[in-house]
Amino acid sequence: MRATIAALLLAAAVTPGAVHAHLPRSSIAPLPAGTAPASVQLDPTTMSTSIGQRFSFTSTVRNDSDQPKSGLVAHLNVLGLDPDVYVDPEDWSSQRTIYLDPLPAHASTRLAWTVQAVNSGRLVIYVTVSAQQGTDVVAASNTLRLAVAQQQTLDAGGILPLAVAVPTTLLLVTGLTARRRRKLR
Amino acid sequence: MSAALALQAQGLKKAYRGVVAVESLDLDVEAGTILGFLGPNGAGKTTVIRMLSTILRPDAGWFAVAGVRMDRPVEIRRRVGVLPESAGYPPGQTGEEWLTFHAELFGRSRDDARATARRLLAEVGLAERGGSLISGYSRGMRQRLGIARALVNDPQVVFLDEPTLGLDPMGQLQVLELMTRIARKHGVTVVLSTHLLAEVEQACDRVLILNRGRIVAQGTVAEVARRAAAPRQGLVKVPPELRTRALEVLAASEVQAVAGDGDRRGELVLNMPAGVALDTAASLALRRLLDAGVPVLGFALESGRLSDAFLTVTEDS
Amino acid sequence: MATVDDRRVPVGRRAWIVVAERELRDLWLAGRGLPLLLAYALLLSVTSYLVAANQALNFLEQRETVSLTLQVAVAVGALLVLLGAADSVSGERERGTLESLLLSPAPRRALLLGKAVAALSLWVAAWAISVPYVWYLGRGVGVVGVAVASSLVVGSLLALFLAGYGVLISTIVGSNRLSLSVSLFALLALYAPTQMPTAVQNSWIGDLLLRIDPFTAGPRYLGRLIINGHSPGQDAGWLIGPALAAVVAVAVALAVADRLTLHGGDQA
Repeated sequence: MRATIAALLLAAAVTPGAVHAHLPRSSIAPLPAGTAPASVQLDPTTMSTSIGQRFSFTSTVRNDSDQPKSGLVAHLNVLGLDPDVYVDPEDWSSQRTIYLDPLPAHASTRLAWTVQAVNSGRLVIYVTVSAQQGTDVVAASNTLRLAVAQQQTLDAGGILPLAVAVPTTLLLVTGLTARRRRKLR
Repeated sequence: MSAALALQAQGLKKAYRGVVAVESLDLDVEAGTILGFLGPNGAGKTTVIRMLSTILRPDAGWFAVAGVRMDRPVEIRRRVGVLPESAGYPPGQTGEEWLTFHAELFGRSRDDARATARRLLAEVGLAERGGSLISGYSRGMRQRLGIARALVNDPQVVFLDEPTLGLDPMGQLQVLELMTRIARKHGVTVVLSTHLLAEVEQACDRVLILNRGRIVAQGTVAEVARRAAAPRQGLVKVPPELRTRALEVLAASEVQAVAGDGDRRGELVLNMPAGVALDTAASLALRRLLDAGVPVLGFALESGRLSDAFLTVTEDS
Repeated sequence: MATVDDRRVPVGRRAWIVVAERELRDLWLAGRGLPLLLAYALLLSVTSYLVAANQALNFLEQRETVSLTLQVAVAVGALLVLLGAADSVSGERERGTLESLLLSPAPRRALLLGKAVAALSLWVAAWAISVPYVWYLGRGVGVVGVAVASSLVVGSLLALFLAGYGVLISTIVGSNRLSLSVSLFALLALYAPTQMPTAVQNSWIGDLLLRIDPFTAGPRYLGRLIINGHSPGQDAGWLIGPALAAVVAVAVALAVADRLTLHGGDQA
């Protein structure tokens, strides 16, 4: 009996969660292994836009546990569903990481994101939440399915008048100036 | 320092990478003088002018121009005008534009500068071409433009460095006449640097001969010619039919005679021997001719010429 | 006859303004300014036509074309300034017109300042020429305003640096050919950090080199603004190097103005 109790105490002593449970150093609850730090939801879940447009959406991060949580980090990701399209999330937004304030138990916070659609086609946006310490599980949001329409703004024919007009104008001015100087000889 | 001296210098020295261009030069030039500055190529004339006009800094010595000492170069520049030897002109500007620009650099307002430019162009005979590009100017016209530029600030001293270089004889004459007229009219001191002796003889009050960076002679033209112990010559005129006889008679004497050419055609040139008093040699020559029955129609002792003096002093030194 | 005390006090415009006006007229009405600008415009036309001919441009590539066009405009515009500045004094020496300038009472500093202003006008004209190209290439992707403004800032800093540097070399060096050669060599040297391996560029020494070199810092700043969509203040640190270089180059050029002599070198 005595041995069993000693074994139980020893097991409790070496279990991280248990250590924290028996020897709390602060009121912030540690995360047990395998537990997502929070849950996150995106809104809206679908959107259409055209290339180059900026648009906004929100993500709600919720602390589902009974303990307040700190050190949460939210991160925005973009991936392309078309294999031919190379997507670099850094091009979409330079502010892709948000460090959250401590979240009380069962509380939630809304994060606003603004990105610019720099690729066309079918894409997915999602937000992940991880903790700075204590867990190796990342919480991922639902997806925001995005359809970005291509917009051809450039064509060679359009720039041709400009490409010809500017040098031609300069040539004319050069000629007129030279002619004026020649008259002074 | 005398206020009546337009130029003063003492011990001026300048060397380029160890080669002495000007060596211990002393100078006193009275205001209103037209000074001929002579010397062979490489004598240091341009270097002296550039030092006096503050373009170059002397290695030693001091100078003053129009009463202003060398430690106030900006004030000196306000008082001098220079026609540099190898002056370039911007081809894309008109003569009037260029002169107006330089007049403005000397502090004139734009309107005053333009009026000054037009006045000077008229004075140097370029009034009709002031509105034309300098690229269309002849060499003579450019030299005249350069003289106008040298006068744009109403200078007290004007340095003209080889102003007739590259000009034909008519052009040379025109430039010299212009220079003389301007000097007399404006009362400026002119330093005319040239290697053409005729120009100096014709136009200058005083002459200074420079050789290898040193002054080897200075004074009036006559003084310089006399002091330089120029070869002594006489000119004698005899009847044309007796010219050959006269040459034979003189050939037997100490006086060497040759038939004159050029402007001395028709005369015999007598080269007086050295070491004999000039009048004695002349008397002996004339006595011989008369004794030989050759009448003397005319006789003159020729004063030493500047060209001879120049050759003498520059060879000796 | 005027005496020392009553010699004319300047009543006209300041000497550097007189010189600047004269140099600007010579450059644009009688000189190489317009032909140089024409060559520059042809280069921009060819560049922009080629990039616009890419039918498969997506948004990011369009921003990259704007960035490319701007970098060509800034680099070539700055090169024009360097050519003008490097010829400013040594060219006068070779043409024989420097002596007349030195014979005037105008301060040497004023002569150099006026010439630098004329050289800088080449950049101003180049920037103005680039605006319609940038407008065409950048419309629809929302970068025209920031591209035009940032290129003016970056290009002006580069132009100031090169104007100061070019005038300095031209003052010191005796021959025009040597002045142009030294100036162009320096330009090539300033581009060298862009050829460093990526690993070196990412190291602290590489980063420092890229930041202090005005020819690498400026384009980097432009790229981050236009391609990455950063705000102007976000990467303003990249402008410290070009700004310092501009200030130092101009200051040194004016400081050695008294060494402006007829022959250059040490032949005073």
